[in-house]
Order: sequence, then C-alpha cells, then structure tokens
Amino acid sequence: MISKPKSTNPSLLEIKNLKTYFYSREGVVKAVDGVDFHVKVGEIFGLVGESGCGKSVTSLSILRLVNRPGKVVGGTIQFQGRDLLALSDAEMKQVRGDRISMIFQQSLPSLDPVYPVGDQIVEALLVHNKMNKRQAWDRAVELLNLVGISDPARRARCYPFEFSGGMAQRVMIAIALSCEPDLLIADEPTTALDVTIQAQILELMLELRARLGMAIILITHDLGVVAETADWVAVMYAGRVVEESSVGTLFEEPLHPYTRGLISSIPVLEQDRERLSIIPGVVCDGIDMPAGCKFAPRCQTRVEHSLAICSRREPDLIETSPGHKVRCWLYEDANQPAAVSQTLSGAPA
Amino acid sequence: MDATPSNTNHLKAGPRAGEYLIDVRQLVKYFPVRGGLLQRTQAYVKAVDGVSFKIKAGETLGLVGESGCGKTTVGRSILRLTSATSGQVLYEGRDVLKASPRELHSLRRNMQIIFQDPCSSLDPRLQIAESVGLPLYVHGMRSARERQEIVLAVLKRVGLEAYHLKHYPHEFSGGQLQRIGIARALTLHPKFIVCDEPVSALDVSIQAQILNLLSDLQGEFGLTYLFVAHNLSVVKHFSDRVAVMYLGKIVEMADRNEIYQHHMHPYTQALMSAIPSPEPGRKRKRIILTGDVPSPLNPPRGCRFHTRCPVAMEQCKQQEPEFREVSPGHWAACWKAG
Repeated sequence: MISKPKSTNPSLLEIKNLKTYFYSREGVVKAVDGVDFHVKVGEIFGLVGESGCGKSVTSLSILRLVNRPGKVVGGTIQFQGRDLLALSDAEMKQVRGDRISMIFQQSLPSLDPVYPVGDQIVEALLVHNKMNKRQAWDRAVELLNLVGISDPARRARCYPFEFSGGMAQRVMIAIALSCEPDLLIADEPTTALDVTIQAQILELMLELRARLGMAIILITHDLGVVAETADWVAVMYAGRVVEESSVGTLFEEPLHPYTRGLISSIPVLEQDRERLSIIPGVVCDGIDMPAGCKFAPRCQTRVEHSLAICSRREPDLIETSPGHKVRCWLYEDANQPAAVSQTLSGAPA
Repeated sequence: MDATPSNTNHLKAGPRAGEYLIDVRQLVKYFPVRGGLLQRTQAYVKAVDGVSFKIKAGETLGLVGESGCGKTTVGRSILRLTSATSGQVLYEGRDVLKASPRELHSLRRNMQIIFQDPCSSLDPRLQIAESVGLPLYVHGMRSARERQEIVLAVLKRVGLEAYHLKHYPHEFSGGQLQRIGIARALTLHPKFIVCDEPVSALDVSIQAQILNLLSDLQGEFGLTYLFVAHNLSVVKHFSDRVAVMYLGKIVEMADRNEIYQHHMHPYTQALMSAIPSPEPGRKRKRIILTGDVPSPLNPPRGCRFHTRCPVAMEQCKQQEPEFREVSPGHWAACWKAG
C-alpha cells in the first residue's frame, strides 16, 4: 500500500533536532536526542513508545517545563511560526495554557484539592482572558457541560475528591480547553482509567477535536489507543523517533523491527495466538547507550540479515515512501526498498 | 529441575488433569466501613458478594473486571490473605477457609501468589537469594546449601543469572522483578498460583516475555492458574476459561472462545467493544457505557448493571437475575441471556 500523503493542512508545530539531556550524578541521560516531527493544524498526532523512551520529556520540552537537572540543549520548536525555545519566560507564559495546553495521566493529583473545580477553571480563564468573575464562572459551567459532566452548575461547586477518576479527567480536559488552545498535549490521558471509561474519554477527545478544530499530541504506550484515535503516528525508542507514518500505514506495513515487534507482541482479541512473539532483552540504559543503532542489542532482524553496521553507526531517519519514515539500516539503500520489504515479510509477524 | 520437596509425601496425591483443584462456593467478603466517635461499623463495602467457580487441575481461569469489582479480593480470599466473610474455598476437597493454622501452613505450600507490583512485594533490604529462598525456610525445608541450589535453579528457569543472587531489588528493572516474583512463587513447587495482574505494570514488549514465561511454566510444572487482570485481550489470550466480574459478582463465565464469540451479558459486550483494537481499519462497533461503576457500598437494586446497561428493562431494576448455566459450560447472570 502506498502511504497516504499527510493532510494538506498547514503545519502548526515543527520540532527539529530536539535534544533534552538530564545531567545526573551518574552521567548525562540523553532522554531526547534528536527528535524531529511536525504536527498539522487539527491533526491527532500519536507519540508511541515504552516507558523511558522520551515521549513525555518531548512534550514537557515543548511547553518548556523541563526542570533541572534536565535541560533542552539543542534544536528548535517552531509553533505558529515562532521558536518556543527563543521566547522569554513571560512570552512563554502567554503561550502555555492559552495556545498550548496539556492534560496529564494522573488527573486527581493535578487538581488542587482545596478549591472547587469550578474555581480552578475560572483561574485558567482569568489568566488569559479579559472577563469578570461572573462571566468566567458561567464559562466554566459551560465547559463542564461541554466535556459531558451532567448537572454542571452543581458539579462546578464540588471538590476534586468528589469526582471519580474518569470525571476528574473530564475536568482536566475542561481546564485544558478553557482558552480554546490550538494544540492540546495529552500525556497518557487514559492509562489510569478503566477500559469502559477510557472509551468515553477517547470518544470525547475525538468529538472535541471535530468541534473545536484543535490539534492533539496523544502520548501513549497503547498501540490500540493510537490505532483508534490518531491520524499520524511517531514511534519512539531510546530518545529517538524510529518510525513515522500515517496510522493506517504503520499498522499495515510497519518497517522498523521495533515497531514490528511491538505490534506482534500484544494479544489481540480477534486473533488466537498460541504464543506471543517477543522482543528479547530490555531497553538500554539512558546513560550507557550502545554506539550504533540503539535498538541493535535487541534486534532479531539484524541477526537474521547479519548486518554488522548496526552496532557501529546509527542510521538516519529516512523516507522510504512519501510520508513514511524509518530509522533502520535495512532501508538505507533507498533504491531497493521493495526487496528489503519482501525479505522482511518472511519474518514472523 | 530438582525443586520438588521430598517431604510432601504425607500430602494427599493431587487430582489429575481434568479434575477440579479449586472449588469456590458462594464466596463473600464485606469490608466494614467504620466511622463516628466510637468507630462503629456504619456500612459494608460489598467487595465480593457471592462468587462461585471451579478450576480444573492444569487449567487457567481468567478473572476480568474493572477496578473495584472485587477480582483481587477473590484471589486474596482463596489464599486467606484476607479472611472471607462467608463461603467455602475447597482445595482438593479441603476447606481452606476453615483450616487450622497448621493445616493452612501446609496448604499454602501448594498455593502461591504473584503480585501486580513486583517492586513493593519484595523486601528492599533482602538480597534476591534471601527473598526467593524465604518460602523454603518458612516451610522448614532443606539445608541452607540445598535451599541455595533450589533458588539458583528456579532463578535460572525464569531467565536470571547466578550473579543476580546477591543483588537487591532496586538494581532490577520491572520485568526482571516480576521474574523474581514468579521465581519466589515457584520455589515450593506449588500446584496452584494466583496471578494478580502480573503484567499490568509492565511495558508491552516485557509483558509478552512474562506471559510466555508463565505459560511455559504451566506446561512444565502442571500449574493451575487463577489469572486476575483488567485487560480482556490479555486474559483471553492467556486463559482457558474466562469469568467477568462486575461489582462483586461474576456476571458471565465461559470458555475463552465461547465468551468472545457468543457473549450474552451486555457488560461483557461493552467491555470487549471498549478495548482499542490495534488494527485501524477494523474498528469494532463501540458500545460506550454511560456513567461510572456504582459504589460497592450501596450497589443498585435488582441487576447491579442496570444503571449502565444499554438494554435494561423494567424487570432488571426490580429483580436480580440468577447466575445460571444458559448453555453447557456457559454461565450468565442476565434476564435477557439465552
């Protein structure tokens, strides 16, 4: 299948060669090391990977919320034509919460336990908008209604402990949406929730995107969530993007051995798998990274193809077909991607 | 592997494959809620409210449900890690809940548990060799040297090395810790293991490693599992039979393929349709349940699911449906089933 070209919408966010390092006592942890991707207006962009791959640090870097000992040490983050990394703190404050907002995995700890949730939405509204308290309160109730909380006028006066996990996540979304941002970063928004509640929240996010037209960066480790929600997806491993494409292409024709491994290692309801195929080993240490491809020590495909270069030099992120990028030596010879693809399809899927 | 305890001969020979090893009858666990000046019991959280099932020797029963449905309490009550309020748990015909402390001690040699969070279930100040060898010590088995040998054999079987013996828990990754937790459960060569969300704290690529390991061990040692988890695709992959719990009760139970293809309870259906499918083109028809799970402090009258059920009728609000065998081996508690 030929991958669909990316939608023609203008670009909203462009990240180039982003590097965020943490200077710990044991050494420098290169949590994010040369990440490139761009998000279009109104797009849901999935950022997938396992714990420690740098997906959350990437999102915190966008909002400039990385604290010491962490530091963004290189790259550019162009948002609506401005480099966020070059803005002053005051300018950044204007962007944060207004143009870009974020929701976190744990919604209850992100809310202040001693104020009613309505007040917390009002606070966000008053920071960024010219309106009086009365108007802000009305708007807060409206927002709670928008995210599907029944009896919003009464619920606005309730305290966070009176909400269940799913309801608290709806409140967080209401706060994040209060200034109608152009970009919403959702960091594992449904991981702490039960599946039936997760389905509600994902449905809500899709509906809100359709209604408000904002772009969403959806950070998750759950490939199922990405498959059902995102338009475009980047897979991260050890601080790098290893594969990027439209969602359909990624699942139909995954190229990177890591992506293939991930997809075939999850049990699927519709299929009967006698055994799950596994990715051997564990994610490499952030400090003591292997020299070449970071996935090489766990890569079966490398062994099958007896590629020696993998452990010596790191491959670049190259485009094998329009819109489909992969970081793997198997595809470096761009003239014969089909041949490689054929040899690969023999591998267990 | 020579880990079979020699002094188990006095124990009754276990049932062969196909016979029932575990028989849970009308298990009930209420947690009292205390409050007020005198800390009087004011109400009960009905965590488990009449659960019955049987597990054959060598079989895996998957117990699935959302948080707070009581699935973990069922697992813990079977091992008497929490004392049940009423009901019976028969292990090879002997009632675990009524066993004397001595009997319980010998029963527990055959029943082990693997916890969800391997990090908090290992003592941070004990070396791995000690943690894994502790069950052998507690049951007074073998000399220190023999214990060491058994521990090493078990650790190697789950994929760790000899040099790991002297390490402490904080030096391991989550996947490795879960392997250690499995090793500790195996040292006594049990027949029955409760796996309480063994993979939900792990990354996907590690999850598959652990699931494969558990299934290899089952074949090798003839283990019987109660596999407790919230992820229905994992449960369906791993189990022979699946029981779905909702608010302290089992609402449906059947063979894994039967429950997947011919589920009868609307909750099972909703649970299945809610799992995001990693195949973009093939979206399931989603049934989105409204609202949250009601509080087990005060479960709804009638069918407990009627407040969220898309097909509830008037009868469901009044009368609680009986958990009955609708077709051979397929149990459901729904007025509309069958």
